[in-house]
Amino acid sequence: MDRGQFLPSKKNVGAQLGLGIRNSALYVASTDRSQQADTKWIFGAAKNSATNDSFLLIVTGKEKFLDNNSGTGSSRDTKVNSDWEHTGDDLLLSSTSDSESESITVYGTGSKARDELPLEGTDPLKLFRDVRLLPDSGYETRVDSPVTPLTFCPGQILSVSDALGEYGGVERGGDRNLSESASFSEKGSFNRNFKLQPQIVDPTDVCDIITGMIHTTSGLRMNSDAHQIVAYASGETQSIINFSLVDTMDANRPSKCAGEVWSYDLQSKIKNIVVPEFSPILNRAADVIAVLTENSLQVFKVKFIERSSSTLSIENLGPCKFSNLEDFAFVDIAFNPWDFNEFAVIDTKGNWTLGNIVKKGPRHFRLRLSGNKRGSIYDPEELSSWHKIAWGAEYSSLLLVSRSRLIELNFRRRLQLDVIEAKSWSSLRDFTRVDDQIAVLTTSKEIILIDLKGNDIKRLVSWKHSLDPEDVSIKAFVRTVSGAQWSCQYERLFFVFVYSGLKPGILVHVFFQNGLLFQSIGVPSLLQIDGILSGLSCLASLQTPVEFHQEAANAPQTPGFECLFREIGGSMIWRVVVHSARSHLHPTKAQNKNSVDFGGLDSPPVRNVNKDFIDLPLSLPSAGKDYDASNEESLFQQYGYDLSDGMNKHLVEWAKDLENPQEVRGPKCYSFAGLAEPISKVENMEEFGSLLEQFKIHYQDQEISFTDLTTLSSLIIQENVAELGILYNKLLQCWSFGFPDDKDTTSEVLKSIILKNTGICSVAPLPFVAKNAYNELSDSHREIINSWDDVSDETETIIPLSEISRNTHTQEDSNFPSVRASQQNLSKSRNPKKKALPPPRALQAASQPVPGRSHPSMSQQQTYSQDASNILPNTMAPAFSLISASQPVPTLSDSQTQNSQRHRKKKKRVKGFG
Amino acid sequence: MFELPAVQNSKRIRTIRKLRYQYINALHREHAKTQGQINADGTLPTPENSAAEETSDVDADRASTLIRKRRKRRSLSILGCADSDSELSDTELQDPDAQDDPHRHHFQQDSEKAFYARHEKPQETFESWNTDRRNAVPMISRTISYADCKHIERSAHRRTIARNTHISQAAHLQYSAIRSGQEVFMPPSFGYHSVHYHQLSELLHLSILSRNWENAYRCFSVLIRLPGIDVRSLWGAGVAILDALSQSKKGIATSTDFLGWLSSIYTSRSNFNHSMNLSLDPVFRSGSKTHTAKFVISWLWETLFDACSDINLSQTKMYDGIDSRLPKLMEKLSEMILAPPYMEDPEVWFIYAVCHLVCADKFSERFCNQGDGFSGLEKDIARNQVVQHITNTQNCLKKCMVKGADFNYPERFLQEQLASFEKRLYFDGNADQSQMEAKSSEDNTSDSSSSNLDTQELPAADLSSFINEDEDEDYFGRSERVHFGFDSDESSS
Repeated sequence: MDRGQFLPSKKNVGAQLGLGIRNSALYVASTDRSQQADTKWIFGAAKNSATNDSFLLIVTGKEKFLDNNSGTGSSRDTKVNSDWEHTGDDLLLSSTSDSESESITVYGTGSKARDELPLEGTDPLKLFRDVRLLPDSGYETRVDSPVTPLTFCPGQILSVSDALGEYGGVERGGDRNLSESASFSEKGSFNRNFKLQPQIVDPTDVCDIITGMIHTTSGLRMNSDAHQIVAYASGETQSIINFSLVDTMDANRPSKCAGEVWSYDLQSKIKNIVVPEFSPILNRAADVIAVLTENSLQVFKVKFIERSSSTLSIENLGPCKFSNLEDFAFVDIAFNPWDFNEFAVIDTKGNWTLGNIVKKGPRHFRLRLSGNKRGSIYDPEELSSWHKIAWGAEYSSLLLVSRSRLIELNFRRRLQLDVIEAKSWSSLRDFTRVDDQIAVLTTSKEIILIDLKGNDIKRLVSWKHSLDPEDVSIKAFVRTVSGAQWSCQYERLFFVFVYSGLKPGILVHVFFQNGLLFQSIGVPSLLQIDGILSGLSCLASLQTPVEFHQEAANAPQTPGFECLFREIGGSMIWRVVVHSARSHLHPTKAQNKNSVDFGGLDSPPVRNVNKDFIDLPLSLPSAGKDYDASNEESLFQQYGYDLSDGMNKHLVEWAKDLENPQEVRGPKCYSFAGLAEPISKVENMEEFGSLLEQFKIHYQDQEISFTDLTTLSSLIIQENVAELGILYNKLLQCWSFGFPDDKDTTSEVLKSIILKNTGICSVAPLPFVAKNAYNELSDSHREIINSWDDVSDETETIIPLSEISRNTHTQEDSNFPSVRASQQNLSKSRNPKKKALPPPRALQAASQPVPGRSHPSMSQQQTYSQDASNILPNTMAPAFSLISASQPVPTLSDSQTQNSQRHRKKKKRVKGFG
Repeated sequence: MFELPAVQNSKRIRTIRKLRYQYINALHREHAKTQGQINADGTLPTPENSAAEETSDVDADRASTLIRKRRKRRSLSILGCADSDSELSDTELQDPDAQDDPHRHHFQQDSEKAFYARHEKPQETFESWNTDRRNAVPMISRTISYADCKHIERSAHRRTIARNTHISQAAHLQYSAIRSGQEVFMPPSFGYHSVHYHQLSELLHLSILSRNWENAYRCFSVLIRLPGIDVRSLWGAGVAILDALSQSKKGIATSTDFLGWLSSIYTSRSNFNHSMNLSLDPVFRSGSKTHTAKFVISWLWETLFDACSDINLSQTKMYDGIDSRLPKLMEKLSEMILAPPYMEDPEVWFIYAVCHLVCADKFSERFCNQGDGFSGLEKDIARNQVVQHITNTQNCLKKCMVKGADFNYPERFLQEQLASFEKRLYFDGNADQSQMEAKSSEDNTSDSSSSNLDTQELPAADLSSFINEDEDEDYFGRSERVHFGFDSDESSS
């Protein structure tokens, strides 16, 4: 790959790549091909699946790298319970301080966290956070510090995390049942994905953790290597800066902090930390670290590193107040990659200036801003205060970036070039200078590799990342790895990590370089880190050599490197290993072919979905081939027997339960599918419908309530259809696509809907339940209930719930006198008689206890209600409303509502007469 | 977390947009005032503004049409049907009261439009790029002072809030956040449809990123059928999915077919209207008379890749046992370059050039391999063909340079390739060559004999004969034989 190959492209456009877009290729003639022997084309985006696989990245080995709480004593996160050690920030306890809603959220994520949570038994809830008096100086108002230009209170001080808007709703797991917990966390993920309130993001919060190399002057003299350092902010208001050496001696062991943490309280929120990187040609590292806070610029100089004890000796080169420029807060600082003592700063409005670290001077005033090498890229149309500054490809060129512009300055020749104007379709999100030649620009739409060297700035390769363009909190981090280290044939690899402060995923896209040729790896990878719920506040990579990671003993080794990150609002810094997923790829492909497999995905939004939805069958249901139409009648008969057998079993059970009325806790509910093995195939829907109808009518007088077919039909087709045959025909009209097996599919689907969703419930225990509940009530509540029915007619129309409860109450009251044990016996004795089903019509007529009724259930209740109004006093407690709210089967309550509504009319009339 | 392929529009979003652009415009005006760039009467704003306005020579013409329109409307308004006429209701003149102050009126009318009147809406890229260092302008070395900036912001705020006294509290909160330099993430709408669209598009992207192509295919096929979803903002994902699936799964069209379908359905013949407030970008999504749609370019490239690939050579794409894919593509290209926007697009010309380059490569390679099997006349014809393709390539590349001086391609690399093709023609067959030839004729006796019989069939000989030869290249070390001069006449009979 020599002789000046590069991708053909338009100037200022470059190779514009994206998902599925791999144009701008280069043809390799057959003579040249002989050396490489594999490809005819050099693509912009590699399509070769083999190379792709080695760049499909995953994260493993998430572990705690640093816990700020231990270092500083002032903690931002409270320990929730003992499980916290495992789950860390996963478990987020938040309580609303407002009195208007008492909602408490326990937020457990990840199956691991959920499993470990003692959901039953000890309650993990704590209503209040541990309150500690905080000696944090961020709260102090100081006379000499200018007031930060915020008109509102910073969220950190309020300390109620944004969970308020996101995780609304009480989510208390009182059940180990998988589907239950899955459904509630699904709700959680739903809320998480769709934040209701607009999120206000402070764009000047750039970085609160950074890693870098430090090479002190004395170290240079003694010819020792540069040390890797991690600098991070901590404290209640993120106002304490910490430095610590990183022990990277052993490549096989995970890196960790070595020695003591050196902390310094800056008394103002830390916005940005910068460790300068010098040009590779100098082959050395800096000895300074710059920290930007809300009100000053601080530069720390590492004087000496004692290797044995890993202690640091650090000097503060003094604050540089913002008043030295134009009183606006500085948002970014860059160091000259060729001159250690020169730096440039930019403020929120785009004023920039060069500055120097002077060797000699008063102890705290060694940062001097230049008086004449300053200027402004102020754009009145730019509202965001996000700005970035970086050195260009030359000694005297600066790159200034705002959300809508990228400007190259030559401060020696005093020229400026507006390289990018992004005011229409996209806006700039982040800019990273990789080395003297390459910079990576992340916009709201693309990741762009820019070549800074040469006569003109070149837009080399871009990748359309398809992330939400509205997400303003997107940041990027670039790690360069040489191809040899990653064991691939490319010269250099650029791993671009794009992460957001609002969403937990990290998108990694890999570009690679071969001479002049810059290409992109096809599909990027999405890193999902366990237990990360909100976004990432900052991500950094340890400058450790690429390590080879081995999953299992016989698995191939995969290259990877370590990354540090911190969740937004979290104090914990986590360490993960990002490595190639080559060994992981194949097992996921093999499993589970018959159903849609989201298992390989394992991402939070999908992980929380109910299992029933995850295992969606790919094929429509179809009946078995060996079906004989003539056989149908006997099939129906058999099924009828099975059903009534199952029903009778339950009736016996229910009767047993009723023997002990004090213990009755509520009605039990089943569906047809729970009674008997579903029928294999239904050809004649009308017949099947009448079978079920007969069954319902037969058991009607056993005080069993069935879900009406009209309830189901109105849910499916928004019409009240009382007959199964008609419903089937209507569905067939909708679902007929002209395939030969349309009928079978429809009938199968309808059959399973009917069998699974027709609720069967005994209403007999309801009066006992009501009675029990009433007995358990306190006197004051009883009074309310007693006085409930005294209200005159006009209140009836006010609250629908009360109506329902009242009417259901009358209904259940009405049932009360009719409970007789003899009825159960009757049903038992009656069933064996039903040996052969008579023709449907005849059976219907025979089994109807009251002749001439089209809706037996309704009319039956009508009679009961009449009875009730005659027999029972009006002051009977409607305690059923409490129970019915907690009923597990909605279909039942639906049908009851319907019944009760009809019922109300009847009752009114009765009252009118009375 | 992913982009939604549909327009999001709600009252909430519109309000914030309006506020934002009104404030920006007000800031712009105030800033211009302090810079002394604005005229006393306030009719015309800054130089950038006027540059974006219509050029001066059109102005007179335009003014007269405006006057005519005004007259017509006036007479219509007397008749009482002024507003019903859509033809006359151009945005600038809807309100007769504001005619004395067109700029102010414009401001009221559509602040977003007023903003974009000052800024170009690029079609090729999302941002407008200006990378030529020769265009550098003197640096602004005056910093903006705190007092000035606050003054500008205060007056702009006054101006904006005067028009929006009755905005909702939420909008006001967001507005003040924007004003203080913060950024606001607007959550998507909570409506059922929006949630559904979001879930689907998230699932689609997650499935793609985890290489779960089956799922992605399902999500994609559902998503593109939903109303309000523009398939053109999703086509990249579609191509990626079809690419991955079409080989393994039967009954699914290839990605090339999909791109071809897109190119035939969605036209590039419309004009890109800068004065329209578009909510979706045209960069990857659509084409216009001055911008070739990305999917068309992609289609051309993909077809070219397909035409050059040796595998999946299905029977349908063969014509008389010959691979007709490349000639078909070239035919298509030769039609396309007759009309805009393809006529003016250097990339289309470049693709045309590459087509010829590939042809030249194929023919010259076959000439090499079968050189001794040809009679003198056949040899001349074959050689002419190669030379013709080389010339065509050169012409197309030239055209490509003329059409867009901005097009970069590795010229030296291509020229070297062309030179090497030419060298092959005048390369004398030596022992290795004849040996190879003998082998190839053994392999494909029927093919070579048929091509020997009919000279006219030469360009259309079976490719497979020299596909086999590819593997032998290293063995015979042909790659080292390039240093023969292409002016050596020994090979010509």
